[in-house]
Formats: sequence, C-alpha cells, structure tokens
Amino acid sequence: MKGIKLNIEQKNAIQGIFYNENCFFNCVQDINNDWFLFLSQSDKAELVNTNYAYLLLLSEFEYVPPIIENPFN
Amino acid sequence: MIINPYMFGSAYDSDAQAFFTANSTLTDATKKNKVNQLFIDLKSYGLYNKFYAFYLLNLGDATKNRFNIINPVDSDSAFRLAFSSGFTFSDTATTPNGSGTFAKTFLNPSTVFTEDSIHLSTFGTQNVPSRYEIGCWGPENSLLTRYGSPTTAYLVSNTSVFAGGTNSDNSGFIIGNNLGGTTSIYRNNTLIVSASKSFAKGGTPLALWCSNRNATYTENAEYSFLPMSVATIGKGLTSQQMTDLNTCIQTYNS
Repeated sequence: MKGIKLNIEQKNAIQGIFYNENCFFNCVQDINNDWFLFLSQSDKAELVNTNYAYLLLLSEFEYVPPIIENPFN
Repeated sequence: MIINPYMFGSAYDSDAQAFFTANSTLTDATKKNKVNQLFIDLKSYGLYNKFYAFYLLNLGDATKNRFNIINPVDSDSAFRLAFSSGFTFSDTATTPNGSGTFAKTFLNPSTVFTEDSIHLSTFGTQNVPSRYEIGCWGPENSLLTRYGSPTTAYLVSNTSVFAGGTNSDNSGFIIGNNLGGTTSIYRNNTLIVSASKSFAKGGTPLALWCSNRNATYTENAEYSFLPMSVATIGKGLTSQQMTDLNTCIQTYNS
C-alpha cells in the first residue's frame, strides 16, 4: 500500500498529535527506516480545512514494511 | 391519555442508559436496542463484572466507538480508546490498515490484572491473516488470532510462555483465556488449544491492533489486519463463562 513519506522534521511535528478529540497521527518506519503516515479517506476529508491540510499535498510512495521474524518459531 | 414515559424511568438497562448518556452521539434506536440487549445478556449470565474493558467497535465512528462500556467515562483512566490515524469506521466494524493503525486502551495489566486471571477477546468480521490483535509487553499479555505460517492463534506471556494452536479463520469470536494456570483459546466456542501455562501480568498498557513493545506502539509493533466489531479485556473465565460470553457476543453481532 501507499503512504505519505515524511522527513524526520515532518514526522516529529505530528507524531502522537491529536487532530480531533479521538484520533492522533501515528507515523511508522518502513524497511529502509523512512517514516510514513497513512490516512484513511475520512481522515483526509477531515484534515482538508485544518492546519494539517499540508499533509494532503505531500507525495505518496509505496510502503514496504520492516521484516520481523516470527518469535514463536 | 398522554403517558409521560419519564414517570416510569428509562426503557433501557440502567448501565446501558449510562452508556447512552455518555455516548450522546449514538442515537440510532436499532443500535441502542442491540447494545441494551448486550448489557441485559451479560448480566443474566453473571458476566458483567468480569471485564476491565469492553469495546463496541461497530457503532460507526471513533466518537461512538471510544467508550469502555463498563465504565463509560470520557477519560484515559476509564480505559476509553484513543485511535491512531488510518482507520476506517463503519456500522460493521473498525478496520485497520495493518501498517500503523492501533488504539490505545490506557489499561496497564501490571496495575489492573490478577496473576493467572486474564482474558482477551475479539470479534472479527472478516477472515484475514493478521498479527497482534491485542498486545502489551514486558511481560506480554497478547492475543494473536491468525499469525505466521501455518497460521496460528496465540495467547502469549512471553516468547517462551505461550499457548498456540493452528487456526485458519479469525472471523467470529476468539477468546484467549488464562485461569489458574490453564491457558486456552477458543473460536466460536470451539477449542483451538489448551495448555498448562502460568501468566504474569503484562508490563505496558495494552493496545488494540498491535503489540505495545517498550511502550512505543511503533517498535516492532506488528500491526493487526483484523476488522473488529467487539474487543474485551477482563478476568479469567471458566469454560461455562466463555461459552456464555460467546453467546452474548454472537447475539450482539447477529
């Protein structure tokens, strides 16, 4: 899936920040340790007229998750 | 003759009414009736006091889904949920994206649980390969409903203390339960695995849809893909109580 790729400053500016009463931004790292943000369609609609609308203008890239070994094997 | 209904009190169970009062944006009568029946059923089976947290995740949006129905106070200390970005909310389930979506419960097992008395449960609305449905760390108290290859359901205390059994379908009601050193996992009241495993209390706050390793929610979080309509966190249950809880939650989801 695709997500919004952020630099470290962009990530630090929003990580854990609530954008409404119930929801906060969560950024995660990919296999290359780059930071990504994933927004649902309802998230995007909600952010349009907010101070976070700039996120919607950032480019999306394919996300490759980190490899985690099965700890139970 | 006009009868003032307020003369006779609410039509709902008193705790259901408290939930509706707190959850004021939940106005749909059909949903409220189903929720009310859930409260009635839990009490009739003697289960209502077995939960630390009980979440209904098919009420339509984060605002409605956030409350712990057992203690519907809008605060972290009441274990109400905070949702990450990326979820899709509907009248069927809350659906994660498997790449960073999770919810904080603020429930830390180390201060809430009793040793060897724990259950974690989910009602999945689709069958999907997944990772951690409910999790914490150091020690773990984690439920995985369909993990790895071959896909396996796990209830975990740590990577060497866990019960695991093959499971290829995580739709429906799955409960991981530890009571007095016996750990078992059931799907729709059918046993997946039972083992003698003693569980320590988890060390970080529990998360829905990920493993909260080192309290970061991001480090090796292994985010879930499972759409859920219900999740519960509570005390260890007897076999009969697990059967009864399955009945209650299946009825709610019917």
